[in-house]
Amino acid sequence: MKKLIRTTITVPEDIYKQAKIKASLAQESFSAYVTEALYEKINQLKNKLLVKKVAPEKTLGVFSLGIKKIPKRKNLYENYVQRKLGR
Amino acid sequence: MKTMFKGSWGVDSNIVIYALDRKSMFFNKARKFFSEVKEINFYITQQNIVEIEKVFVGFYKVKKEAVISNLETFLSAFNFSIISPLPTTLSYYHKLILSYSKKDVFFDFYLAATYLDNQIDNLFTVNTKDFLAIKELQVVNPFSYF
Repeated sequence: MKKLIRTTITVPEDIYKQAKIKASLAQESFSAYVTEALYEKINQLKNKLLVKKVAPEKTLGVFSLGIKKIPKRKNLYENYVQRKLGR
Repeated sequence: MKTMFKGSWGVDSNIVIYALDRKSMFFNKARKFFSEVKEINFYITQQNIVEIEKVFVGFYKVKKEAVISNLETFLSAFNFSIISPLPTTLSYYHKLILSYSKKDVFFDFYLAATYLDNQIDNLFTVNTKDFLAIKELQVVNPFSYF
């Protein structure tokens, strides 16, 4: 059993009410619901790729292309959107 | 320099692209940057990964398999954390585009919103101008220091 702590936080009333309702609908305690939400939030930030580790410097310069200018982000997407819209 | 960059930083697609192409105009700077900076937790969004793949496969005709494999190995080697838009990112993005008068910033601002909504408020990019309007985000071109 993990050690539990009691804490006080301040949240907007509407968020609090929505969370209470969601916890109730899920038949969970409010503490369990908030713990689960925090756990998900923390793990989202820890999403790492599970591939074989290689010495970092060996992963640089693996292509030999001579890239000078990279298209702007806007152009990367807009060309695609225009094509999809048939323009 | 080593002490200047610390903490959690997002990395834009252009930085990774230049680092993976040994004949790119910024490769030496990219290599120095990634070799010397040790106290940074790197973050990258899923959108950035799609963009990098699009550039290598779509514009430079590199095989998809080679791009995916080398990119995943690079991200893993430098211990990147991959982040995604959250359910709240859309409203963050709308708040950003409505707060600034710049037009035609949709894709850059959605990227910025994804980092900010994940509590990453520092971004390495070559195109600092694209994000300067967003005061919540600190943008730095690391190549200007190497």
